[in-house]
Amino acid sequence: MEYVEITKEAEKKGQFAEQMRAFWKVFSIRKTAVFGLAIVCFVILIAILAPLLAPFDPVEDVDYGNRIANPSATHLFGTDEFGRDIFSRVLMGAQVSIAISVSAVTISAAIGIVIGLISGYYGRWVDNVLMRIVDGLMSFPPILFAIALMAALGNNMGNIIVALAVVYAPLFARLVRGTVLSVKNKEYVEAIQVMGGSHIRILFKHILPNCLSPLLIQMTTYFAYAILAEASLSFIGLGVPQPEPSWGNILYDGRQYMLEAPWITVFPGVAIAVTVLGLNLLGDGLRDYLDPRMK
Amino acid sequence: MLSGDLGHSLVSDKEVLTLLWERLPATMALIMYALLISVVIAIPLGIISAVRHNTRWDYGAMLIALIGVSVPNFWAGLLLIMTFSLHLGWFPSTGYVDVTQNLWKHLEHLALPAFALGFLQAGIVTRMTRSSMLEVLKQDYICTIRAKGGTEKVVILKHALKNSMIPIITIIGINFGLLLGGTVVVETIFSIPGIGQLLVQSVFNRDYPVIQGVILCVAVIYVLISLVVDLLYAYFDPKIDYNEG
Repeated sequence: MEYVEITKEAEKKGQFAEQMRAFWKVFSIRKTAVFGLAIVCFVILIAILAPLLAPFDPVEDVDYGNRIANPSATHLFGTDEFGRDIFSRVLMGAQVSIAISVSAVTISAAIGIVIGLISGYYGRWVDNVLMRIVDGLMSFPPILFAIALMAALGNNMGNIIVALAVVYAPLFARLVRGTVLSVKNKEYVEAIQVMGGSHIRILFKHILPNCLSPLLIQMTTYFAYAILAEASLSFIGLGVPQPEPSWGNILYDGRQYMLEAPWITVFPGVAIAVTVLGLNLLGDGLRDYLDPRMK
Repeated sequence: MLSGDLGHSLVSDKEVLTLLWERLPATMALIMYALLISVVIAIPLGIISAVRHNTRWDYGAMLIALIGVSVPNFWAGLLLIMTFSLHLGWFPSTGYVDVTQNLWKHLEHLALPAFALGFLQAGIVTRMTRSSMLEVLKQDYICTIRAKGGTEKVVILKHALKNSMIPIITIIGINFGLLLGGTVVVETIFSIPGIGQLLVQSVFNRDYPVIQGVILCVAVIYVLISLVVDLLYAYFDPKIDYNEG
């Protein structure tokens, strides 16, 4: 019995490796997609290693004697109005911004998947009720809805994640519901129903895998949107509270010193733009691979 | 609320509806100019990109579009202020003049914020115009028009572009929400007295009736725009008839 299980496991691993090789063969044809993937991996690595890479403490190392200093060998990106090292703040800001965006998109996808699966699979009044709630939530422009939620919840990191998750969950729910509707009447689903498969098993084991391709593409896109949304919220003072660095609130600090210290504004902006660019390129590449009709 | 009474501001004691009426013109002007800038940039870029598919023109246009999609509008706004206001002194960095007071000053004050806001939308619309035009240019009827001796100008502008408009209008409509959201940040940077700035001020003042009023107003505008988009479908594609049972 054990031998059979080990063999099956090895077969599965072999299949996975084979699938990954096939994926890479097609995906790597598009050089821009590979470039996007490289940017995203680089930014995530930087975010993880930020505490080790940052030469100064982004919050505690205040040096009033070195306020608004030009970029130099000691301070690669210069310093801000408190003499804090911008390079260290941008690195730690990457960690904060990426953590918020990844958490928000993961939570919203999880909520959206459950709502979309239930709504699409059960149909009738369940679908009507859930989709009218989703329609209601989608009638607000995302960033304004997030601002309204932040106004009600108060600004801290946890609340930004909650606000962005609530904003993006309906979009995932709609996407998943659409895919479920196109799959649920297929013969193989009916066959499993006839064989006595439970609803949960059908939903999560047989229908959900069909939603994964569009979901993956959408998650990459919303990851980029979430980074922009977090930066926007922090920029207007409703995001990550000071002195904790995030790309948005470093930009907010730099706004008052645009003429004498443009580096405070330029570097975090470049970080946001490059990350979003990488995610867009990666998203385009995934779309071409997973949904060739969209090419 | 259903009778149109949105209450009073907790800070200024003014009626919320009055506050919205005072602030709405600046926001709508900003959005309209941003939309105009985005369409003026995006449609020609998208057409060039599709017609010169897989050439340097295409790559160049797509690079501009990609930068547009990736650059946050508030950062674009700050860079524009740094370059065109603080260094070159061509445009005012902040403030707003109503169109009825001085048209030139009005345009001068809204040029940078409208560009900061419209550039993102331009990126999205360019990409959609390109893919939609590519799709249409492959159709048989385009070959027929060419075979009948239709000039390239007629093929592209009269036939291909018109038939590509439905997805383009859809994406403009969907992203109208992005523009509305973008106004919050852009109005804050450029100190434009619109509903975006009103919302941010109200959030900091915990002025809940105003927050509620602004969100409701924006949602109504958003839904109305979706309706306009639906109605425009019938204009661009006569096969769509809303009177049909």
